[in-house]
Amino acid sequence: MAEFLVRRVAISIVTLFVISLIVFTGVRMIPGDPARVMGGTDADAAGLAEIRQKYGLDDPIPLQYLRWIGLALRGDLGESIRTRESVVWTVARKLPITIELAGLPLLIALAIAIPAGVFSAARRNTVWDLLANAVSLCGLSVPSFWLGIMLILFLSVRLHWLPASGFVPLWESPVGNLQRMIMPAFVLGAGLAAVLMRQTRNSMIEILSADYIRTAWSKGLAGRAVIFRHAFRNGLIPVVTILGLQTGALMGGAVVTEQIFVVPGFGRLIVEAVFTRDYPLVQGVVLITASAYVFINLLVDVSYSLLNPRIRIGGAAGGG
Amino acid sequence: MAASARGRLWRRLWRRPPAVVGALVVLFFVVLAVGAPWIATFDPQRSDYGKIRKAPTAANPFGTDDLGRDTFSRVVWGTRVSMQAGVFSILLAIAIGVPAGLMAGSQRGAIDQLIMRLTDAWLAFPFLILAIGLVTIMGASLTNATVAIGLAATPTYIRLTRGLVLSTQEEDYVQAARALGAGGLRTILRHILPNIASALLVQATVSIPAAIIAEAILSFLGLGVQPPTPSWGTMLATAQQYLETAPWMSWWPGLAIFSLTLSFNLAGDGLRDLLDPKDY
Repeated sequence: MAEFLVRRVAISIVTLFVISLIVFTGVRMIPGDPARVMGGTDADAAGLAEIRQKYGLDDPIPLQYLRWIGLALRGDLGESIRTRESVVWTVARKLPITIELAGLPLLIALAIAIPAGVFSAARRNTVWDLLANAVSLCGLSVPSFWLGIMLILFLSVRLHWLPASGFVPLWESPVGNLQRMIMPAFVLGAGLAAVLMRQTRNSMIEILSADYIRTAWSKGLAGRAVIFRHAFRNGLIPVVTILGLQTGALMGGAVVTEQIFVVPGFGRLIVEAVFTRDYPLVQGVVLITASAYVFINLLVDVSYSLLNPRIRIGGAAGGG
Repeated sequence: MAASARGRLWRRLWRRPPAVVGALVVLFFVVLAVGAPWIATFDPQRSDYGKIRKAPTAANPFGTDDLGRDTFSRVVWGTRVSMQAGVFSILLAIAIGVPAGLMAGSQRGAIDQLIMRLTDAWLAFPFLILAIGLVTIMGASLTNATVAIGLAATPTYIRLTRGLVLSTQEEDYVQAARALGAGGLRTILRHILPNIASALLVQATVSIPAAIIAEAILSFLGLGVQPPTPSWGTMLATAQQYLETAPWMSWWPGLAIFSLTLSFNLAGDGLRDLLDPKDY
């Protein structure tokens, strides 16, 4: 167990190191004077000199990287060109919206995908299974931003049921907040639900044909007991992994969804940063999202290795 | 033998009508993309200020947009942009990813470690955020968006190819080729590559629709195709401003993306079943 943990953490640290190298190199590939890139076109000579000194821009490149990563590890990712606020603070302030716009879709996706997946696996090759599969295939194929636009068109413009866009903080008005967040959350949740439903169905089908399940059936246990008590728990393990891997898609999806519904989360932040050439902010957001992704997947791997001893042993013996 | 194999192929195809329909719709979009100049009824960039935001009519079956341009013609020309971005970005990902994966899988050791750690890190960037980051560095245009999407999709192909090489190397026929004295490169090109090609093809049917959606999103955000060139993403970005007065502007480009990606997925599912070596 300890060996598995150490190995898994070590791989994550190496990955984070390579991520930081990629992000550092990426910003250096922007044409022009690096001090100007980090300081913006409005920066005066004194400001540029300060940046040059802070990041040691006259030093050799490896030394510059060490200085930059040292600052980053202490939580200093520079300041936004546009607002002159620290990048870490700018991102941190978006955290409540980001958590809400990750949590709600997750709930929606799980609420749709798990029952639908289990049901389709249990009623394999029936009309219901076929229907559930068709819906999930549509969910996989529909571009999320168009789904968002269509929801606005029907639920807001035509029926006037929900406000088309905007954001109200949860603590100011929980109802107002939910009214505005439900459509973006559904748009993000729909794609996730499609992926999770397929995975749940496949792994349930696999589990339901396993020997121990056949034993449970032959013991005369009721269908529901077999499905829920025996198959369900093991069937969900691959689903949890997929969930971890899907956080990346969720973060990417948030960018365009926030744009459509005018939600002031981190997705809008990165788009605004790109358009205003706020390179330190783009760099910070990209670095933070990639690190968050590595961290979440580390947590997922470690947490289910605690649940399933076979994975621990397999993980320790198997390749990277 | 060949005739009966072909017969079996057809029988298998006809057992999956959704896959056949998917493949036909993909083919239809290819025809639209290639034949855009002949199929489009209007110049997609010509404004007609007498026909601003007009609902669908016989002359303009999909209606007109905010500058009086024919939406049908713009959707047809947009097919070309989407297909180009989808196919070329994945070709780029294959051109980089497959050799890198072959190298990692067949060399093992330090090269393998180096390639795989880079791949892990590259995969940790959410696909779209990586593409946005790359477009930020390179500048917004269709070519750059295509390159960015291709680079963002590359690690998937490195991983897949490496995994396939590792499992194929254990097969008897590869071992036999080795034992007969075939060199490393010869084994890879003559024996391993042809046998993993079908799995790569199936992956392409999954990645091309994803790349098409990614291009539409980048263009929607203003980071891809620049106006006035018609693309489904930029058309939707404009359409969102006129949902109340001209909803048709948002129907067609979205329906086009949806039907194309759905068909790719249907065709891909069918292809996977067809090529699944377990059935042979």
